[in-house]
Amino acid sequence: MGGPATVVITPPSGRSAQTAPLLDKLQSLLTTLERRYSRYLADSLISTINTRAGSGDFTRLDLESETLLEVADQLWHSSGGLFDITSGVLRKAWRFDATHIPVDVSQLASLQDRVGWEKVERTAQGIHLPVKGMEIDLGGLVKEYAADSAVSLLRDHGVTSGLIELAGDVATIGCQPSGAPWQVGIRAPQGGDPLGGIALSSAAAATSGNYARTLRFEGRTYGHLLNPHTGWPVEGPTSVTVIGENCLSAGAVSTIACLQSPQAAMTWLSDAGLPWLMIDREAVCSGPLAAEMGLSLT
Amino acid sequence: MKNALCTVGIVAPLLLQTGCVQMESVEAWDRGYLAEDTMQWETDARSARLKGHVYTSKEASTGGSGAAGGGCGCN
Amino acid sequence: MNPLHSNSAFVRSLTRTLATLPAYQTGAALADAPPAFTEVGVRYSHYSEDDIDASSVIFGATSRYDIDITQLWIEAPVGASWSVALDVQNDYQTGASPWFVGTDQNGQPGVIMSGASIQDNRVEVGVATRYFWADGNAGLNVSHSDEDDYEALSMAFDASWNTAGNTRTWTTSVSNSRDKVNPTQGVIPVFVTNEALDTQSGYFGVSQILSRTTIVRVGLNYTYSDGYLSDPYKLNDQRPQSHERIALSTGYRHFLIDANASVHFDYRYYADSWGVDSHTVELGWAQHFERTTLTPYFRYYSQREADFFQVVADLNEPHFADDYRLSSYGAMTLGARWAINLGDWTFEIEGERYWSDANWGLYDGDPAPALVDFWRGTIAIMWRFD
Repeated sequence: MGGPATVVITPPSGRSAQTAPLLDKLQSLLTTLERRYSRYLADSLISTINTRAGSGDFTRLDLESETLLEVADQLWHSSGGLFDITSGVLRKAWRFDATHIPVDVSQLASLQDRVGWEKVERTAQGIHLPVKGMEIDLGGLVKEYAADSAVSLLRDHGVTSGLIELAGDVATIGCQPSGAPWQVGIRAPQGGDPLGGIALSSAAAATSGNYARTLRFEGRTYGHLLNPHTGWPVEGPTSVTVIGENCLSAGAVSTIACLQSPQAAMTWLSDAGLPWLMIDREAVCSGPLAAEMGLSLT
Repeated sequence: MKNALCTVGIVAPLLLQTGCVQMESVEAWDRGYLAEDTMQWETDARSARLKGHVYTSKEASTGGSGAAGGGCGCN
Repeated sequence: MNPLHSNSAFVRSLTRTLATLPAYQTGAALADAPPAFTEVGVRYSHYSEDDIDASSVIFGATSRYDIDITQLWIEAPVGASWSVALDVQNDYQTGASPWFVGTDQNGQPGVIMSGASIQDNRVEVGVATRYFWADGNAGLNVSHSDEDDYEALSMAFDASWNTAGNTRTWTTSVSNSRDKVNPTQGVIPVFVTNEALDTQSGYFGVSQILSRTTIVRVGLNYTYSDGYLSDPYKLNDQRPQSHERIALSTGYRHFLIDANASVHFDYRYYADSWGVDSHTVELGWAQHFERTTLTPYFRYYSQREADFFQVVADLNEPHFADDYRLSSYGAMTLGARWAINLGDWTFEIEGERYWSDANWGLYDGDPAPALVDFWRGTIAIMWRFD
């Protein structure tokens, strides 16, 4: 999935000998998901679908990929088209190094033809991308799904205390062995010490944000999330953290929040009904988690 | 009324036994729709009791939704 | 309220989509369990009968009953397997009602209404407890009802259990009520003091899941009453000392995924030892919106008159009554319920209108002049917390 992973588990009592094989199973689960959904591996399901774009050949889907694409569809609907797994190709028009004008506008215009989830054909035969050069990217969703799958695997093996972190998303089982909830730090956008900690117990926390890769151009800071309609980076909040029952649900809410203006994101987040924290571009923190974490709301 | 009782005693179990009622098995995790509040037999126990109370005191019929009744001076 | 259980349409529909994947299936969800939260609620209803048609009245005022009903309750889980509830209801009733039906100078039947308006207050207090286990639950309910002229003590026990992979639920209940009637003298002359009646009732039913969006049920109810069963405020009313009643009921609920709505159908057939038969059909459509649900509904009712009912009572018969509630007639109700959910709070507004007419029924019989039309409005507020 291209990011760091941390796993902490307390083996079920009397079964410490099973820890190593369990971690192996976990590793194998994550590798399998990577092989199936990575854009970079030529024989992955996603690459197969992308290679067949414009060819007329449909790709059959299994229950898992069918459901993940259904989730992508639901997020596309609920976000008014801002969440669009076909929008990745727009990145080709952008250069996030400081020496050039960052965008080739004519290239952007031609890339727009290759973007649009509404164009994707999904039937009982499977999925087909109708325009040559169209690509889908399930990276974000699969990362969260992987964390949830890992939790499910560990629970099935009797683990009642554990934590898994995949590239910034965290899922927990139960509490720490001491009985206290797991403490997860929320990093500050500018790096350095964490802003604070949130307590998780059999809950997941997903963080989306524009801070990982940013670019300053003509006095404005842009993140790397692109608006599929315009092709330009979204002027969204710096980061949003949401807590939910599982990573995928929490991540869906936080990702869609980051695709909107901070104002619109606040409405979206409070309607979604899950605990949230938003850090806007002026580093102002808001949301019910901010109060819980003791962050000043100025 | 005796006839009605006999008919009812036979028809009700028959409906379940025969194939005239199509049943699918539904996995535990697929019960989301069935769990919706508008899919319950009574949206709210007190609301149902109120409605029943009003109709029972204005009409000659009682019963129908399950629990047997309590008393009041309504008829 | 569990902060991770979001009520938003977005999260709920995402959860439903994910439920097909093994990673999101938790095996433990099935056990019957007490509610996860405590609920406190209040509901206020106003019930108002239309004035009786002046042309149907021989003597007396034309205004009929107005009733204010207030319900208060609290229901809470206790430990992992129990719940308790306390219910208090107050009914405040004013108005006049038919005293008897006579004939006017043209030989036409007409109503003589009770003189002045009555004022009656009833308080009912009920306590209930419920026990939950993996495959079912059982409850015990005791309630006491008190008003100037009537007192009742009731007890009910019910149990449900799941079979067939939890797709089938069996339910049974029994109840008993001991009532004492002590009619108040004054507004209309009454000739009865200190009477009692007993009622026993039993129910047996089964509900079956047919698909992920459909559930049906069927049930049978039997009730037996004995004692003083007449209406002491009606001059010409002498009913049998025993009353046997059965009701067969069926129900259907189906969720329409594309419409985001559920459709309701309920039917009840009733018959009793007094010769009354009835059919009741109820239809409802519950439409979900982002945070609210709107449920319009329709009800049709038709009953056959009791054996001893006469428009103008025949006092030579062993049993007689001119109570319009024992006549042949049909009735329709149109109503709607609007529920708004805001986090821990739920608000409800409901209104309905009921019309009855001797010509709307499926059975023949002479029309009683005092058939009633009414409307009812209700508002409720509920608060859930844990």
